[in-house]
Amino acid sequence: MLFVGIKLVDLYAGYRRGQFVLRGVNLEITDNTIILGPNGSGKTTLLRTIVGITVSKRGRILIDGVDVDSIRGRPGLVAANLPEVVISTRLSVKHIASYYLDVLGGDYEYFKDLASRLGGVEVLEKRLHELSAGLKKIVLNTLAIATRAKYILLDEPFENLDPARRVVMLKEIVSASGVKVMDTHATWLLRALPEWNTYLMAEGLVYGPLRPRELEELRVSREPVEDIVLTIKLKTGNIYLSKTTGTPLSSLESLDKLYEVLTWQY
Amino acid sequence: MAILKTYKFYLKSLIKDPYYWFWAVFFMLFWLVMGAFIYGSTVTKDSLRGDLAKIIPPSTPIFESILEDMWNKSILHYTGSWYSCIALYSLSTIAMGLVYYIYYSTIPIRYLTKYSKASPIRFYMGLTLASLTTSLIAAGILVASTIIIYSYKFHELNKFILPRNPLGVFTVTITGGVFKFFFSTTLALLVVAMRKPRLLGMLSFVPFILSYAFGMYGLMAGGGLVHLSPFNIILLLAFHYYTESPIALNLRVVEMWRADPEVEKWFSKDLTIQLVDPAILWIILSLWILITAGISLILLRVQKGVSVEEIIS
Repeated sequence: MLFVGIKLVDLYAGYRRGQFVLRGVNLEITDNTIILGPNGSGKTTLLRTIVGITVSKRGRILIDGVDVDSIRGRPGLVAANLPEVVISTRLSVKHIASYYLDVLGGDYEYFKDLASRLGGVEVLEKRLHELSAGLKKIVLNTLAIATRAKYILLDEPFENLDPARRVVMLKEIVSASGVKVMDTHATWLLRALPEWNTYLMAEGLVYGPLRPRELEELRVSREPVEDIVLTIKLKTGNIYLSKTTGTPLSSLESLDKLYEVLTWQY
Repeated sequence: MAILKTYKFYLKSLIKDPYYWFWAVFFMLFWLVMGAFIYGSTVTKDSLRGDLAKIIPPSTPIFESILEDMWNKSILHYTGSWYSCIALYSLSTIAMGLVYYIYYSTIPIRYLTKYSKASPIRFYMGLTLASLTTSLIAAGILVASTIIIYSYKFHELNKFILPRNPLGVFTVTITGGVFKFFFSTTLALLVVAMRKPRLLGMLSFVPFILSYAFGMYGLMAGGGLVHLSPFNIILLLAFHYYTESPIALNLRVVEMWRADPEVEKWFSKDLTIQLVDPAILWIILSLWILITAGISLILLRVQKGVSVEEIIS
Protein backbone atom coordinates (compact mmCIF):
# COMPACT_ATOMS: atom_id res chain seq x y z
CA MET A 1 0.00 0.00 0.00
CA LEU A 2 1.24 3.50 -0.82
CA PHE A 3 2.63 5.29 2.22
CA VAL A 4 1.03 8.69 2.76
CA GLY A 5 3.29 11.08 4.59
CA ILE A 6 6.98 11.85 4.65
CA LYS A 7 9.27 8.90 5.15
CA LEU A 8 13.02 9.14 5.70
CA VAL A 9 14.96 5.90 5.31
CA ASP A 10 18.53 5.67 6.62
CA LEU A 11 19.15 9.24 5.58
CA TYR A 12 22.61 10.78 5.49
CA ALA A 13 22.91 14.36 4.25
CA GLY A 14 25.31 17.26 4.38
CA TYR A 15 27.03 19.96 2.40
CA ARG A 16 30.42 18.52 1.56
CA ARG A 17 31.14 15.18 -0.02
CA GLY A 18 31.55 12.51 2.62
CA GLN A 19 30.87 14.86 5.56
CA PHE A 20 27.33 14.28 6.71
CA VAL A 21 25.35 16.40 9.14
CA LEU A 22 22.48 13.90 9.25
CA ARG A 23 23.77 10.48 10.19
CA GLY A 24 21.27 7.75 9.44
CA VAL A 25 17.88 9.31 10.15
CA ASN A 26 14.81 7.09 10.04
CA LEU A 27 11.55 8.95 10.46
CA GLU A 28 7.90 8.78 9.44
CA ILE A 29 5.85 11.96 9.47
CA THR A 30 2.11 11.58 9.04
CA ASP A 31 0.88 14.20 11.45
CA ASN A 32 1.86 17.59 12.87
CA THR A 33 5.41 17.28 14.14
CA ILE A 34 7.91 19.21 16.22
CA ILE A 35 11.62 18.52 15.84
CA LEU A 36 13.24 19.77 19.01
CA GLY A 37 16.97 20.17 19.26
CA PRO A 38 19.80 22.54 20.12
CA ASN A 39 21.46 24.73 17.51
CA GLY A 40 23.76 22.76 15.25
CA SER A 41 21.91 19.49 15.74
CA GLY A 42 20.92 19.28 12.05
CA LYS A 43 17.29 20.48 12.21
CA THR A 44 17.56 22.93 9.31
CA THR A 45 19.55 20.42 7.26
CA LEU A 46 16.77 17.91 7.86
CA LEU A 47 14.14 20.30 6.45
CA ARG A 48 16.36 21.29 3.50
CA THR A 49 16.88 17.62 2.70
CA ILE A 50 13.15 16.86 2.88
CA VAL A 51 12.47 19.76 0.48
CA GLY A 52 15.10 18.32 -1.88
CA ILE A 53 17.71 21.06 -1.99
CA THR A 54 20.59 19.37 -0.18
CA VAL A 55 23.31 18.29 -2.56
CA SER A 56 25.12 15.53 -0.71
CA LYS A 57 22.72 12.78 0.26
CA ARG A 58 22.50 9.06 0.88
CA GLY A 59 19.37 7.11 1.79
CA ARG A 60 15.82 7.88 0.71
CA ILE A 61 13.15 10.48 1.26
CA LEU A 62 9.67 9.55 0.16
CA ILE A 63 6.90 12.10 0.05
CA ASP A 64 3.56 10.33 -0.40
CA GLY A 65 5.53 7.37 -1.67
CA VAL A 66 7.50 9.31 -4.29
CA ASP A 67 11.25 9.82 -4.01
CA VAL A 68 11.94 13.52 -3.46
CA ASP A 69 14.56 13.55 -6.22
CA SER A 70 12.01 12.53 -8.81
CA ILE A 71 9.29 14.94 -7.72
CA ARG A 72 8.52 17.43 -10.49
CA GLY A 73 5.57 19.72 -11.06
CA ARG A 74 3.62 18.99 -7.86
CA PRO A 75 2.12 22.30 -6.76
CA GLY A 76 0.69 22.26 -3.27
CA LEU A 77 2.70 19.27 -2.09
CA VAL A 78 5.41 20.90 0.03
CA ALA A 79 6.13 24.45 1.15
CA ALA A 80 8.96 25.69 3.33
CA ASN A 81 9.95 28.93 5.04
CA LEU A 82 13.64 28.50 4.14
CA PRO A 83 15.19 31.76 2.87
CA GLU A 84 17.31 29.98 0.26
CA VAL A 85 14.24 28.90 -1.74
CA VAL A 86 13.44 32.54 -2.47
CA ILE A 87 15.03 34.02 -5.60
CA SER A 88 17.51 36.74 -4.72
CA THR A 89 16.04 39.93 -6.15
CA ARG A 90 15.68 43.65 -5.57
CA LEU A 91 11.91 43.39 -5.87
CA SER A 92 9.64 44.15 -2.95
CA VAL A 93 8.07 41.49 -0.74
CA LYS A 94 4.67 41.88 -2.45
CA HIS A 95 6.19 41.14 -5.87
CA ILE A 96 8.05 38.09 -4.59
CA ALA A 97 4.99 36.75 -2.76
CA SER A 98 2.72 37.40 -5.72
CA TYR A 99 5.05 35.49 -8.07
CA TYR A 100 5.65 32.59 -5.70
CA LEU A 101 2.01 32.14 -4.74
CA ASP A 102 1.09 32.38 -8.42
CA VAL A 103 3.40 29.58 -9.55
CA LEU A 104 3.09 27.46 -6.40
CA GLY A 105 -0.66 27.88 -6.30
CA GLY A 106 -1.26 29.71 -3.00
CA ASP A 107 -3.44 32.45 -1.55
CA TYR A 108 -1.93 35.90 -2.01
CA GLU A 109 -4.80 37.71 -0.25
CA TYR A 110 -4.21 35.61 2.87
CA PHE A 111 -0.49 36.38 2.65
CA LYS A 112 -1.13 40.11 2.34
CA ASP A 113 -3.53 40.11 5.25
CA LEU A 114 -1.34 38.14 7.67
CA ALA A 115 1.94 39.83 6.69
CA SER A 116 0.34 43.26 7.13
CA ARG A 117 -1.19 42.31 10.46
CA LEU A 118 2.09 41.01 11.84
CA GLY A 119 4.59 43.28 10.15
CA GLY A 120 2.62 46.36 9.17
CA VAL A 121 1.53 47.32 5.64
CA GLU A 122 4.99 48.71 4.88
CA VAL A 123 6.50 45.23 5.06
CA LEU A 124 4.96 44.47 1.65
CA GLU A 125 6.71 47.41 0.02
CA LYS A 126 10.18 46.59 1.37
CA ARG A 127 12.78 44.30 -0.12
CA LEU A 128 13.40 41.03 1.68
CA HIS A 129 17.01 41.87 2.54
CA GLU A 130 15.95 45.22 4.01
CA LEU A 131 13.76 43.58 6.65
CA SER A 132 14.82 42.89 10.22
CA ALA A 133 15.40 39.24 11.12
CA GLY A 134 11.99 39.07 12.82
CA LEU A 135 10.08 40.61 9.92
CA LYS A 136 11.91 38.42 7.45
CA LYS A 137 10.86 35.38 9.46
CA ILE A 138 7.24 36.60 9.47
CA VAL A 139 7.29 37.01 5.67
CA LEU A 140 8.84 33.58 5.07
CA ASN A 141 6.48 31.84 7.52
CA THR A 142 3.48 33.56 5.98
CA LEU A 143 4.62 32.70 2.46
CA ALA A 144 4.92 29.02 3.40
CA ILE A 145 1.52 28.94 5.16
CA ALA A 146 -0.20 30.88 2.35
CA THR A 147 0.94 28.22 -0.13
CA ARG A 148 -1.68 25.96 1.52
CA ALA A 149 0.55 22.98 0.83
CA LYS A 150 -0.11 19.48 2.06
CA TYR A 151 3.17 19.52 4.00
CA ILE A 152 4.37 22.80 5.46
CA LEU A 153 7.95 22.77 6.75
CA LEU A 154 8.82 25.57 9.16
CA ASP A 155 12.39 26.16 10.23
CA GLU A 156 12.56 27.96 13.62
CA PRO A 157 9.32 29.84 12.89
CA PHE A 158 9.41 31.85 16.13
CA GLU A 159 13.02 32.91 16.07
CA ASN A 160 13.47 36.68 16.51
CA LEU A 161 9.73 37.19 17.02
CA ASP A 162 8.48 39.17 20.03
CA PRO A 163 6.03 37.35 22.39
CA ALA A 164 2.89 39.02 20.97
CA ARG A 165 3.77 38.08 17.40
CA ARG A 166 4.76 34.58 18.48
CA VAL A 167 1.24 33.98 19.78
CA VAL A 168 -0.42 35.22 16.57
CA MET A 169 1.98 33.25 14.41
CA LEU A 170 1.43 30.11 16.47
CA LYS A 171 -2.35 30.43 16.07
CA GLU A 172 -1.97 30.80 12.31
CA ILE A 173 0.34 27.80 12.09
CA VAL A 174 -2.01 25.65 14.16
CA SER A 175 -5.07 26.64 12.13
CA ALA A 176 -3.31 26.20 8.76
CA SER A 177 -4.43 23.22 6.75
CA GLY A 178 -2.02 20.38 6.01
CA VAL A 179 0.63 18.58 8.01
CA LYS A 180 3.02 20.98 9.70
CA VAL A 181 6.61 20.03 10.47
CA MET A 182 8.29 22.53 12.70
CA ASP A 183 11.85 22.56 13.99
CA THR A 184 12.80 24.60 17.00
CA HIS A 185 15.04 24.83 20.02
CA ALA A 186 12.33 26.54 22.10
CA THR A 187 10.77 24.24 24.69
CA TRP A 188 7.84 26.59 25.50
CA LEU A 189 6.14 25.24 22.38
CA LEU A 190 5.61 21.87 24.01
CA ARG A 191 2.95 23.28 26.34
CA ALA A 192 1.17 25.01 23.47
CA LEU A 193 1.07 21.99 21.19
CA PRO A 194 0.25 18.99 23.36
CA GLU A 195 -1.13 16.89 20.49
CA TRP A 196 1.83 17.18 18.15
CA ASN A 197 4.35 14.40 17.69
CA THR A 198 7.68 15.46 19.08
CA TYR A 199 11.13 14.25 18.17
CA LEU A 200 14.41 15.17 19.77
CA MET A 201 17.36 15.82 17.54
CA ALA A 202 21.03 15.87 18.48
CA GLU A 203 24.19 15.58 16.42
CA GLY A 204 22.40 14.49 13.26
CA LEU A 205 20.18 11.82 14.78
CA VAL A 206 16.47 11.91 15.54
CA TYR A 207 14.91 10.31 18.64
CA GLY A 208 11.25 9.70 19.30
CA PRO A 209 8.38 10.14 18.83
CA LEU A 210 7.21 11.37 22.18
CA ARG A 211 4.17 13.37 23.18
CA PRO A 212 5.00 16.90 24.42
CA ARG A 213 3.43 16.17 27.81
CA GLU A 214 5.61 13.09 28.13
CA LEU A 215 8.68 15.08 27.13
CA GLU A 216 7.93 17.81 29.63
CA GLU A 217 8.08 15.29 32.43
CA LEU A 218 11.48 14.00 31.43
CA ARG A 219 14.76 14.83 33.09
CA VAL A 220 18.21 14.94 31.54
CA SER A 221 21.21 13.29 33.03
CA ARG A 222 24.70 12.18 32.04
CA GLU A 223 24.54 9.12 34.25
CA PRO A 224 22.66 5.96 33.29
CA VAL A 225 19.63 5.46 35.51
CA GLU A 226 17.12 2.69 35.91
CA ASP A 227 14.06 4.17 34.25
CA ILE A 228 15.69 5.38 31.02
CA VAL A 229 13.10 6.49 28.50
CA LEU A 230 15.51 7.65 25.81
CA THR A 231 19.27 7.47 25.28
CA ILE A 232 20.79 10.22 23.16
CA LYS A 233 24.15 9.33 21.68
CA LEU A 234 26.59 12.22 21.57
CA LYS A 235 30.24 12.23 20.52
CA THR A 236 31.15 13.22 24.07
CA GLY A 237 29.11 10.46 25.66
CA ASN A 238 25.48 9.48 26.12
CA ILE A 239 22.69 11.57 27.61
CA TYR A 240 19.88 9.77 29.39
CA LEU A 241 16.30 10.96 29.60
CA SER A 242 14.34 9.51 32.47
CA LYS A 243 11.39 10.44 34.67
CA THR A 244 13.28 10.56 37.93
CA THR A 245 16.89 11.70 37.68
CA GLY A 246 18.54 14.87 36.37
CA THR A 247 17.54 18.37 35.25
CA PRO A 248 13.91 18.73 34.12
CA LEU A 249 13.85 19.28 30.37
CA SER A 250 11.01 21.80 30.78
CA SER A 251 13.22 23.98 32.97
CA LEU A 252 15.40 24.73 29.95
CA GLU A 253 13.78 27.57 28.06
CA SER A 254 15.83 26.61 25.05
CA LEU A 255 17.48 23.31 24.24
CA ASP A 256 20.58 25.32 23.42
CA LYS A 257 21.10 25.34 27.18
CA LEU A 258 21.13 21.57 27.30
CA TYR A 259 24.86 21.28 26.76
CA GLU A 260 25.59 24.10 29.23
CA VAL A 261 23.55 22.44 31.95
CA LEU A 262 25.13 19.05 31.34
CA THR A 263 28.64 20.47 31.29
CA TRP A 264 28.04 22.52 34.42
CA GLN A 265 26.36 19.76 36.41
CA TYR A 266 28.45 16.80 35.41
CA MET B 1 1.75 30.69 -18.17
CA ALA B 2 4.74 29.95 -15.96
CA ILE B 3 7.04 31.30 -18.68
CA LEU B 4 5.09 34.57 -18.76
CA LYS B 5 5.02 34.91 -14.96
CA THR B 6 8.72 34.11 -14.70
CA TYR B 7 9.45 36.50 -17.56
CA LYS B 8 7.61 39.34 -15.80
CA PHE B 9 9.30 38.56 -12.47
CA TYR B 10 12.83 38.52 -13.87
CA LEU B 11 12.16 41.49 -16.14
CA LYS B 12 11.09 43.60 -13.15
CA SER B 13 14.14 42.33 -11.22
CA LEU B 14 16.56 43.21 -14.00
CA ILE B 15 14.97 46.60 -14.72
CA LYS B 16 15.18 47.55 -11.04
CA ASP B 17 18.83 46.50 -10.85
CA PRO B 18 21.08 49.58 -10.61
CA TYR B 19 23.99 47.42 -11.77
CA TYR B 20 22.24 47.01 -15.14
CA TRP B 21 21.53 50.72 -15.56
CA PHE B 22 25.00 51.79 -14.54
CA TRP B 23 27.15 49.30 -16.47
CA ALA B 24 24.96 48.37 -19.44
CA VAL B 25 23.56 51.83 -20.12
CA PHE B 26 25.20 54.83 -18.38
CA PHE B 27 28.77 53.58 -18.56
CA MET B 28 28.28 52.79 -22.25
CA LEU B 29 26.80 56.26 -22.81
CA PHE B 30 29.94 57.66 -21.26
CA TRP B 31 32.05 55.82 -23.86
CA LEU B 32 29.77 56.96 -26.68
CA VAL B 33 30.37 60.54 -25.56
CA MET B 34 34.12 59.86 -25.37
CA GLY B 35 34.02 58.40 -28.88
CA ALA B 36 32.24 61.43 -30.26
CA PHE B 37 33.96 64.32 -28.52
CA ILE B 38 37.40 63.07 -27.41
CA TYR B 39 38.44 60.36 -29.86
CA GLY B 40 36.32 61.94 -32.61
CA SER B 41 38.04 65.30 -32.34
CA THR B 42 40.52 64.23 -35.04
CA VAL B 43 37.76 63.12 -37.40
CA THR B 44 37.25 66.33 -39.35
CA LYS B 45 36.27 67.28 -42.86
CA ASP B 46 39.56 69.13 -43.27
CA SER B 47 41.64 66.04 -42.49
CA LEU B 48 39.57 64.08 -45.01
CA ARG B 49 40.03 66.88 -47.54
CA GLY B 50 43.80 66.50 -47.12
CA ASP B 51 43.62 62.74 -47.64
CA LEU B 52 41.37 63.09 -50.67
CA ALA B 53 43.56 65.76 -52.18
CA LYS B 54 46.37 63.20 -52.38
CA ILE B 55 44.20 61.12 -54.73
CA ILE B 56 42.08 63.65 -56.61
CA PRO B 57 43.34 67.13 -57.41
CA PRO B 58 41.21 69.67 -55.51
CA SER B 59 40.77 71.61 -58.72
CA THR B 60 38.69 68.75 -60.15
CA PRO B 61 35.09 70.01 -60.59
CA ILE B 62 33.57 67.07 -58.72
CA PHE B 63 36.08 67.27 -55.84
CA GLU B 64 33.68 68.96 -53.40
CA SER B 65 30.82 66.60 -54.15
CA ILE B 66 33.10 63.58 -53.73
CA LEU B 67 34.42 65.07 -50.49
CA GLU B 68 30.88 65.57 -49.22
CA ASP B 69 29.98 62.03 -50.12
CA MET B 70 33.15 60.62 -48.51
CA TRP B 71 32.62 62.72 -45.42
CA ASN B 72 29.09 61.38 -44.95
CA LYS B 73 30.33 57.85 -45.42
CA SER B 74 33.29 58.20 -43.07
CA ILE B 75 31.21 59.61 -40.22
CA LEU B 76 28.56 56.93 -40.78
CA HIS B 77 31.29 54.29 -40.52
CA TYR B 78 32.85 56.00 -37.51
CA THR B 79 29.45 56.16 -35.78
CA GLY B 80 28.66 52.57 -36.74
CA SER B 81 31.96 51.27 -35.38
CA TRP B 82 31.34 52.98 -32.03
CA TYR B 83 27.77 51.72 -31.81
CA SER B 84 28.70 48.13 -32.68
CA CYS B 85 31.51 48.15 -30.14
CA ILE B 86 29.37 49.65 -27.39
CA ALA B 87 26.47 47.27 -28.14
CA LEU B 88 28.87 44.32 -27.73
CA TYR B 89 30.19 45.63 -24.41
CA SER B 90 26.70 46.44 -23.15
CA LEU B 91 25.58 42.88 -23.89
CA SER B 92 28.68 41.63 -22.07
CA THR B 93 27.93 43.59 -18.91
CA ILE B 94 24.38 42.23 -18.96
CA ALA B 95 25.89 38.75 -19.37
CA MET B 96 28.14 39.35 -16.34
CA GLY B 97 25.10 40.11 -14.21
CA LEU B 98 23.25 37.11 -15.62
CA VAL B 99 25.98 34.72 -14.48
CA TYR B 100 25.17 35.76 -10.90
CA TYR B 101 21.39 35.69 -11.46
CA ILE B 102 21.54 32.17 -12.89
CA TYR B 103 23.92 30.91 -10.22
CA TYR B 104 21.86 32.23 -7.31
CA SER B 105 18.63 31.00 -8.90
CA THR B 106 19.68 27.34 -9.04
CA ILE B 107 18.32 26.43 -5.60
CA PRO B 108 15.07 28.45 -5.84
CA ILE B 109 14.46 26.98 -9.31
CA ARG B 110 15.09 23.50 -7.92
CA TYR B 111 12.43 24.17 -5.26
CA LEU B 112 9.97 25.84 -7.62
CA THR B 113 10.20 23.14 -10.30
CA LYS B 114 9.42 20.46 -7.74
CA TYR B 115 6.46 22.20 -6.16
CA SER B 116 4.95 24.19 -9.03
CA LYS B 117 3.77 23.19 -12.51
CA ALA B 118 6.75 24.76 -14.25
CA SER B 119 9.72 22.83 -15.58
CA PRO B 120 13.34 24.08 -15.37
CA ILE B 121 13.25 24.73 -19.12
CA ARG B 122 10.25 27.06 -18.67
CA PHE B 123 12.01 28.96 -15.91
CA TYR B 124 15.11 29.41 -18.03
CA MET B 125 12.91 30.44 -20.97
CA GLY B 126 11.35 33.14 -18.80
CA LEU B 127 14.80 34.30 -17.73
CA THR B 128 16.06 34.23 -21.35
CA LEU B 129 13.16 36.38 -22.55
CA ALA B 130 13.64 38.82 -19.68
CA SER B 131 17.36 39.16 -20.42
CA LEU B 132 16.61 39.68 -24.12
CA THR B 133 14.10 42.40 -23.30
CA THR B 134 16.64 44.19 -21.14
CA SER B 135 19.23 43.83 -23.94
CA LEU B 136 16.73 45.33 -26.34
CA ILE B 137 15.95 48.22 -23.98
CA ALA B 138 19.67 48.91 -23.59
CA ALA B 139 20.15 48.66 -27.37
CA GLY B 140 17.24 51.05 -27.98
CA ILE B 141 18.69 53.62 -25.59
CA LEU B 142 22.18 53.19 -27.05
CA VAL B 143 21.00 53.46 -30.68
CA ALA B 144 18.98 56.60 -29.91
CA SER B 145 21.87 58.10 -27.95
CA THR B 146 24.37 57.24 -30.70
CA ILE B 147 22.19 58.97 -33.30
CA ILE B 148 21.77 62.10 -31.15
CA ILE B 149 25.38 62.33 -29.87
CA TYR B 150 27.10 61.70 -33.20
CA SER B 151 24.59 63.77 -35.21
CA TYR B 152 25.26 66.63 -32.81
CA LYS B 153 29.00 66.18 -33.04
CA PHE B 154 29.21 65.99 -36.85
CA HIS B 155 26.06 67.81 -38.06
CA GLU B 156 24.98 69.87 -35.03
CA LEU B 157 21.69 68.04 -35.27
CA ASN B 158 20.94 69.54 -38.70
CA LYS B 159 21.09 66.04 -40.09
CA PHE B 160 20.80 62.67 -38.33
CA ILE B 161 23.26 59.81 -38.73
CA LEU B 162 20.68 57.06 -38.79
CA PRO B 163 21.43 53.34 -38.97
CA ARG B 164 20.91 52.20 -42.53
CA ASN B 165 19.12 49.04 -41.45
CA PRO B 166 17.57 49.55 -37.98
CA LEU B 167 15.77 46.20 -38.10
CA GLY B 168 19.08 44.48 -38.79
CA VAL B 169 20.73 46.37 -35.90
CA PHE B 170 18.02 45.23 -33.47
CA THR B 171 17.99 41.68 -34.82
CA VAL B 172 21.75 41.38 -34.27
CA THR B 173 21.39 42.82 -30.79
CA ILE B 174 18.67 40.30 -29.88
CA THR B 175 20.64 37.41 -31.38
CA GLY B 176 23.77 38.63 -29.60
CA GLY B 177 21.70 38.70 -26.40
CA VAL B 178 20.63 35.07 -26.99
CA PHE B 179 24.27 34.02 -27.41
CA LYS B 180 25.36 35.96 -24.33
CA PHE B 181 22.52 34.43 -22.30
CA PHE B 182 23.52 30.86 -23.14
CA PHE B 183 27.19 31.70 -22.67
CA SER B 184 26.40 33.10 -19.19
CA THR B 185 24.23 30.07 -18.39
CA THR B 186 27.07 27.77 -19.39
CA LEU B 187 29.48 29.61 -17.10
CA ALA B 188 27.08 29.76 -14.14
CA LEU B 189 26.10 26.10 -14.45
CA LEU B 190 29.74 25.14 -14.85
CA VAL B 191 30.38 26.64 -11.41
CA VAL B 192 27.39 24.71 -10.04
CA ALA B 193 28.29 21.42 -11.76
CA MET B 194 31.91 21.61 -10.60
CA ARG B 195 30.73 22.71 -7.14
CA LYS B 196 33.38 25.41 -7.07
CA PRO B 197 31.48 28.53 -5.94
CA ARG B 198 34.72 30.43 -5.49
CA LEU B 199 35.16 30.43 -9.27
CA LEU B 200 31.98 32.45 -9.67
CA GLY B 201 33.60 35.87 -9.31
CA MET B 202 36.30 35.06 -11.83
CA LEU B 203 34.06 33.31 -14.36
CA SER B 204 31.46 36.08 -14.27
CA PHE B 205 34.04 38.38 -15.86
CA VAL B 206 34.73 35.99 -18.75
CA PRO B 207 32.00 37.38 -21.09
CA PHE B 208 33.35 40.90 -20.65
CA ILE B 209 37.03 39.95 -20.87
CA LEU B 210 36.50 37.94 -24.05
CA SER B 211 34.27 40.62 -25.60
CA TYR B 212 36.82 43.27 -24.80
CA ALA B 213 39.83 41.24 -25.96
CA PHE B 214 38.29 39.91 -29.18
CA GLY B 215 36.31 43.08 -29.86
CA MET B 216 39.28 45.42 -29.47
CA TYR B 217 41.52 43.12 -31.50
CA GLY B 218 38.99 42.96 -34.34
CA LEU B 219 38.34 46.67 -34.13
CA MET B 220 41.84 48.07 -33.90
CA ALA B 221 44.46 45.40 -34.48
CA GLY B 222 43.45 43.12 -37.29
CA GLY B 223 40.94 40.81 -38.89
CA GLY B 224 41.41 37.20 -39.89
CA LEU B 225 40.04 34.27 -37.94
CA VAL B 226 39.35 36.44 -34.89
CA HIS B 227 36.44 37.86 -36.89
CA LEU B 228 34.80 34.43 -36.71
CA SER B 229 34.56 34.46 -32.90
CA PRO B 230 30.97 34.98 -31.75
CA PHE B 231 31.95 38.28 -30.13
CA ASN B 232 33.42 39.63 -33.35
CA ILE B 233 30.49 38.38 -35.41
CA ILE B 234 28.09 40.37 -33.20
CA LEU B 235 30.35 43.41 -33.65
CA LEU B 236 30.69 42.95 -37.42
CA LEU B 237 27.00 42.34 -38.06
CA ALA B 238 25.98 45.33 -35.92
CA PHE B 239 28.47 47.44 -37.87
CA HIS B 240 27.25 45.99 -41.17
CA TYR B 241 23.59 46.80 -40.49
CA TYR B 242 24.40 50.24 -39.09
CA THR B 243 26.40 51.25 -42.14
CA GLU B 244 25.37 48.71 -44.83
CA SER B 245 29.07 48.40 -45.52
CA PRO B 246 30.33 45.06 -46.85
CA ILE B 247 32.17 42.90 -44.33
CA ALA B 248 35.81 42.17 -45.11
CA LEU B 249 37.52 39.40 -43.19
CA ASN B 250 41.02 40.75 -43.73
CA LEU B 251 40.31 44.28 -42.49
CA ARG B 252 40.04 45.61 -38.97
CA VAL B 253 36.67 47.24 -38.29
CA VAL B 254 38.06 50.80 -38.23
CA GLU B 255 39.28 50.18 -41.79
CA MET B 256 36.13 48.46 -42.98
CA TRP B 257 35.04 51.61 -44.81
CA ARG B 258 37.67 50.78 -47.38
CA ALA B 259 35.58 47.80 -48.50
CA ASP B 260 32.69 50.10 -49.49
CA PRO B 261 32.41 49.83 -53.32
CA GLU B 262 32.28 53.60 -53.78
CA VAL B 263 35.24 54.25 -51.50
CA GLU B 264 37.21 51.29 -52.74
CA LYS B 265 37.69 52.77 -56.21
CA TRP B 266 39.37 55.83 -54.69
CA PHE B 267 41.15 54.61 -51.57
CA SER B 268 41.62 50.84 -51.85
CA LYS B 269 42.64 50.22 -55.43
CA ASP B 270 45.75 48.25 -54.45
CA LEU B 271 44.09 46.35 -51.61
CA THR B 272 42.83 42.77 -51.93
CA ILE B 273 39.62 42.67 -49.95
CA GLN B 274 38.21 39.33 -48.76
CA LEU B 275 34.51 40.00 -48.53
CA VAL B 276 32.28 37.66 -46.57
CA ASP B 277 28.56 37.14 -46.98
CA PRO B 278 26.71 38.20 -43.77
CA ALA B 279 24.66 35.00 -44.12
CA ILE B 280 27.81 32.99 -43.36
CA LEU B 281 28.37 35.03 -40.20
CA TRP B 282 24.73 34.43 -39.21
CA ILE B 283 25.24 30.68 -39.68
CA ILE B 284 28.42 30.70 -37.56
CA LEU B 285 26.72 32.77 -34.82
CA SER B 286 23.74 30.38 -34.86
CA LEU B 287 26.15 27.47 -34.45
CA TRP B 288 27.76 29.18 -31.47
CA ILE B 289 24.28 29.65 -29.97
CA LEU B 290 23.43 25.99 -30.54
CA ILE B 291 26.74 24.88 -28.99
CA THR B 292 26.34 27.03 -25.85
CA ALA B 293 22.62 26.13 -25.53
CA GLY B 294 23.53 22.44 -25.84
CA ILE B 295 26.25 22.70 -23.20
CA SER B 296 23.84 24.61 -20.92
CA LEU B 297 21.22 21.89 -21.26
CA ILE B 298 23.74 19.15 -20.54
CA LEU B 299 25.02 21.05 -17.49
CA LEU B 300 21.44 21.65 -16.35
CA ARG B 301 20.90 17.89 -16.33
CA VAL B 302 24.29 17.04 -14.82
CA GLN B 303 24.34 19.61 -12.01
CA LYS B 304 22.93 18.64 -8.65
CA GLY B 305 23.13 22.13 -7.27
CA VAL B 306 25.62 23.88 -5.08
CA SER B 307 25.53 23.32 -1.36
CA VAL B 308 23.01 25.64 0.25
CA GLU B 309 25.63 26.70 2.78
CA GLU B 310 27.94 27.80 -0.02
CA ILE B 311 25.14 29.67 -1.83
CA ILE B 312 24.21 31.55 1.34
CA SER B 313 27.79 32.39 2.22
